[in-house]
Amino acid sequence: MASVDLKSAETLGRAALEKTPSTGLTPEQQLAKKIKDEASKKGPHSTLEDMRSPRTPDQTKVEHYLEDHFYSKIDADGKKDREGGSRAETRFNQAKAAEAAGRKFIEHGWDPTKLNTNEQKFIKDSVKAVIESWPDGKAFIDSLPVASRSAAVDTMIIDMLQNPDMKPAVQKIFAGVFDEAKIREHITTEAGAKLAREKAKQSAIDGEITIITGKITTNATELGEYDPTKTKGKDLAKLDSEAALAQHSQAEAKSKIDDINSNIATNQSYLRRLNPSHPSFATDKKTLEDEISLLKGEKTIQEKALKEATDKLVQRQLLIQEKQQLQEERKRLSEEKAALEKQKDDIDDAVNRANTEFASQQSRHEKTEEQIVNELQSVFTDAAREYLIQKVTKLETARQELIDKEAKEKEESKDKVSDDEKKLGKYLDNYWMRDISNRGALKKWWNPNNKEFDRKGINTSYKEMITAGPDQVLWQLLRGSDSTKFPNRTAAETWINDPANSAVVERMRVQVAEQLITRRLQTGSITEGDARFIASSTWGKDAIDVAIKRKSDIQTQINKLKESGIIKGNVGEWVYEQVRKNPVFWLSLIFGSAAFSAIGSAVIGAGLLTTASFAGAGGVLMTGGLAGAKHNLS
Amino acid sequence: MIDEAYKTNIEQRIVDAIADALEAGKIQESQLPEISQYVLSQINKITTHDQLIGFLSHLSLRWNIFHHIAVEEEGKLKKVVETKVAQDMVRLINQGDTNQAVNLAESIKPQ
Repeated sequence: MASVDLKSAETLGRAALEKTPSTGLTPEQQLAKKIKDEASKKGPHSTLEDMRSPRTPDQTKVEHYLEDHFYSKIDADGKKDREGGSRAETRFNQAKAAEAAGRKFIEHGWDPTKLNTNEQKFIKDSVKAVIESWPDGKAFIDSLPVASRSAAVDTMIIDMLQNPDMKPAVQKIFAGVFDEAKIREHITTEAGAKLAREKAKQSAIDGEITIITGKITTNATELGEYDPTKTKGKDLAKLDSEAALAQHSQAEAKSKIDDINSNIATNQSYLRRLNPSHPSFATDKKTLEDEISLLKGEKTIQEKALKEATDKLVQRQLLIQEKQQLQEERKRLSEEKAALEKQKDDIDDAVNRANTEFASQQSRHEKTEEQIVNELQSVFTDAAREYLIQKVTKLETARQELIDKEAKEKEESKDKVSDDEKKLGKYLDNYWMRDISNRGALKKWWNPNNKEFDRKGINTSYKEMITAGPDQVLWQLLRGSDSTKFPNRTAAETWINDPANSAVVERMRVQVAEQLITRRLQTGSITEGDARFIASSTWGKDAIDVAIKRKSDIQTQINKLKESGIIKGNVGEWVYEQVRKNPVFWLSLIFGSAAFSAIGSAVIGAGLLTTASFAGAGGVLMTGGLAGAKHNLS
Repeated sequence: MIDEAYKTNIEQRIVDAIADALEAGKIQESQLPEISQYVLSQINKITTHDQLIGFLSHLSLRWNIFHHIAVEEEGKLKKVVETKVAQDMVRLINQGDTNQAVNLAESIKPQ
């Protein structure tokens, strides 16, 4: 299929996206009109609110855009075609499926009655992939008991998808895929057209060469007949060998015929002059007539000999001429073929150049198609990432505000924070951290700062705390925070054990325990044995109290359970009990970074926590005690 | 003080300016979220005319399509101030405090 004079696909793509409906207004004019109409109907404030989210691109325009961008062939009329089974068709279907899922989600939110099974799976898998790609999220999932993990993860994902912040995040990313400013460079099909033109030339010259080659073959066959072993060759050789004799015979016969004609004429002259009255008239007449008859007989013989000789010579001449013509034809055809082949070389070069250019553009085009598919398929992962980053930032900010508030309140109260605590707090902030730039590691999306956890230091300190209690870590921290006041271990331990410092030391232990458990969970995991030990220790319980106070989302979920009557009696005791029953999960939730609670608190609210141990319940998530709790995991 | 009706009026003029600018190709659709986000985040905090002028000045510095609104509002404010000054001057003159009246007049002279 030849391609000629094609329009740039980029131009077509833009045209599809910018196609102006029949109103005759430009897209900008339409939008301006829409804004004014909406402002007069809904008021300017609502209109401004609507403007905050990027508009979801018009479905028809997007469909045109996809239709126009995914193709495997362009015909001579510039019509694009997606051939069945082509990679373009596969990519087109992938793009359409992802586009449909995104559009439905933006329109209806997480609604299983609107999203088909594949779309639901695609969306949930996208979100899950983000959670799992995030060390905190992965650690949290791993902290869930195996038997209930799948249901709990499903709950977390659906909670995220149902969150009102998720839809705008998806909408923003989705709109970004079709942002006109981002419509990427597209294949310029001029290269395809050029290739088609060059190929057409190549095809034409190939045809001419084929024809001339056929003629040369025929010529060679015909000329081959003059081979001495072939009929015409033998004939010509024979005629050549007989030519001298034939020429002689021809001349001799001609001469004889001339003589005979002369004799006949003489005898006829004699015959006309005979005197009928002469007595020998009859005899003379008969003699002359017999002589003439004999001469005519002889003449016939000579004429035959002449004809035979002439025929041979003519036949020879014809063969020679034909052979010469064939030889000349061969020369002409060979020259013509050589000229065509030279032209073909030039055309072949042009085809190769056009082919290379087209292949390069085709490769770029395929990459473009892949990019569109990737961007569409990444809408939910990108949105989930953005959602989580925002959520975590918000929670961390809220947590920090609470900490600051507590510090301020303490500062203003008589139970003022001591300088030692302040120094310790400041020192703790970065104690188990190290600069990423120190080892040249790349920043990760979940950690935009150039700090990362010092896993080795955390593990060492954690083991020390579990083995010997927080004091074992505390003396080291005191030394680090103020080496003048605490020049050695003895000085620090003496200070710790001084009854005058007991209140401060108590708070410091909690501070250290909370920070260390948090860091441990951010970088690894806590065994069930460790978790139970922490939950049963005084410093552990105190740390739990402090951590819960600073996590509003957990408090919200716990309050929900309290209001629905699932938690009866003292909330603190209920929490300790939960920690003892499902220690790893709860400690992950309470001490994990804000990230844990960002994604995990939904598990509590969904009634996935029971008064029985996950493990002990043998995978049954709900007990009779939680019959009133709502959950949607059926 | 700026009441809600006045804020709505300002919002309406902002929306009109956005629509006009879009139509004239002075801004792109992709800029709308940023503009509206900025307007909504600031306008709720405004309670006085001074704050409104400050907001409109910043707004027109970021997007000059709002320049005319800022100028109009500044003009209105100036007129209000001048009227008030004129009234106070008359009052001071009537009270015989000419010096104060002159000082007041001096205070609103352009620098």
